[in-house]
Amino acid sequence: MNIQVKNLHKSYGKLEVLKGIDCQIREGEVVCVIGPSGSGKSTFLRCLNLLEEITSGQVLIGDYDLTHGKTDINKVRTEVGMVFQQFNLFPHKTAIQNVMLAPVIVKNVPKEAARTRALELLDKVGLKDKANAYPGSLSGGQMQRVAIARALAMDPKIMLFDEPTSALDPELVGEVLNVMKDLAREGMTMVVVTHEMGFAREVADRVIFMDQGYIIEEGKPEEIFQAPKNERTQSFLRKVI
Amino acid sequence: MNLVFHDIIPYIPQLLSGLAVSLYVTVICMLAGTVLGLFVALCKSSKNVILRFLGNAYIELIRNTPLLVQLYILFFGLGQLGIDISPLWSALIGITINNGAYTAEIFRAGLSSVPKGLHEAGSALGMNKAQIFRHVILAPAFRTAFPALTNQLILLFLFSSVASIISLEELTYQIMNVETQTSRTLEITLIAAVLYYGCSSIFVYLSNAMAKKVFKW
Repeated sequence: MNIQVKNLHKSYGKLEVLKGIDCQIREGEVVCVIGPSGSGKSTFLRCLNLLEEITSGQVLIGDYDLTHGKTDINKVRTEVGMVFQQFNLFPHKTAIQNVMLAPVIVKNVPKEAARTRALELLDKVGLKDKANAYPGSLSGGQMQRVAIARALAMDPKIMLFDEPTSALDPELVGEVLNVMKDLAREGMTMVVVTHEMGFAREVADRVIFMDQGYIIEEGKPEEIFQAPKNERTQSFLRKVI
Repeated sequence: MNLVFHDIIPYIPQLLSGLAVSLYVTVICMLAGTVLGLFVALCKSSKNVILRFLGNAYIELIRNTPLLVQLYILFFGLGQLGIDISPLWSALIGITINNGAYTAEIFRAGLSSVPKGLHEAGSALGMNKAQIFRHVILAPAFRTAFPALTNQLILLFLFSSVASIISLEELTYQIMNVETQTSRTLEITLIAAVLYYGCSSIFVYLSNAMAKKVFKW
C-alpha cells in the first residue's frame, strides 16, 4: 500500500502545526521522520490514520481517501498499525489478551485462531514466556514489544511508529529497535517518527527532516546525515549527533 | 451507670428483621443505582446536547436536595395525588434515584481518569466507540471508581435509615420501636450503633476481597 499526502494542513484553532505537507511513501519503504520537538512530525504521523482530524489537503492510503467523508476509517485503521510512545497497552489484559483482542472483536477471527497467531507474534518479539503477564509487571521495552505484536496481529500493510523508544530507559531501546529492524527486513512499509539517528541511518530507505510544520529536506540517510543541504537540517543534526 | 440489656432480648427477632430489610434495601439500591449511575455518567459525557443536559439536570437536582425530602415527595406527595406506593417501594425507588446521582459522578471521574492513549490505541486498531468503551475503557474506569463506590455503599447503608420516616420497617424504625416500648434508650441505641458498625465493616471487608479477586492486574 502506498501513502500519498497532498498539501496537508493541520491547525489547532489559530495554531497551524502542519503547513502544507507533500509526501509519497511507496509500499515496502521505511521512512524515518526526524526533527526538533514541536516540528509537527508526530501530528503528521497521526494524520495518516486520522487520530488527528485533517484541516485541509488530501491523504490517500492505498485506494482509501482519508479526507473523503464516506471512507470507513475503522476499515483503514485495520490496515494501518500504530505503535505509541507511551505503549498504551490495555492494563487489565494480559500480553496475549492485548494481542488477541482486536482481531477477535474487529475482524471476528475465531478465538483459538487468534490465540495461536498471538502466540506466534509474541514469540516473534521474544516474549512468548510473558504471554500471561499483565502489562504492569513488564518492563518498558517488553511493553513496547507487546504493543508492536498487538499492532501486527491485525495484519496491517503499513506500520506507524510514534517515537517508540522515547519513553524507554536507554538499555531497553535496543530490544525494541531490533524488533523494528526485523520488520523492516521483512518488507513492512514503515513510517517512524524517531530521535534514534543510528536507527534512521541504518534502517531507513529515506529520511524526512521536518521543522515548524514543513518538510525541510528529505533524501537517503547518507545524504541527510552526511551532506545535509538545508541550513536548518545542518543545525539540527549538529545538536543531536 | 447501669445498663440493662435483658429487657431487650424479647425484641431481638424484631431487630433482626429490621436489619434484614435495611440490608435488602442497601443491596438492591446499590446494584440498581450503579447501573443507573453508569448510564447517567455516559449521558453526561455524550456529545448529544439533550442527553448531556438531562444527565446534568438529574445530578444537580438530586444532589442539591435532601434524601428525606425526596422520600417525602415519593411517599406522601405522590400519595396526595392518588398514587400510592408502599414504603418499601418508595424507599427502593427513592434511594436508587438518590444513589444514582452520586454513583454517576463517581463513574464520570472514573471514566475521565482513563488515559487518552487507551482510547487512541483502541481507535488505531480499528475498534468502534462501543467496542472501545466495552473492552478498553470500562475495566480501568471501574477500578478507579471502586474505592469511591465502596464508600458510597457504606453511606447508602447508613442513609437507608432515613426510610424509617416513611414507616419502612428497617433497622432504625425497629430500634425506635423498641426504644418506645422499653425506654432503654442508651442500651438500644448502642445496639443500633454496633449493628450498623458491624455491617459496614463487613461491607468494607467484602469489597476489599472482591477487589483483590477482580482486579488482578
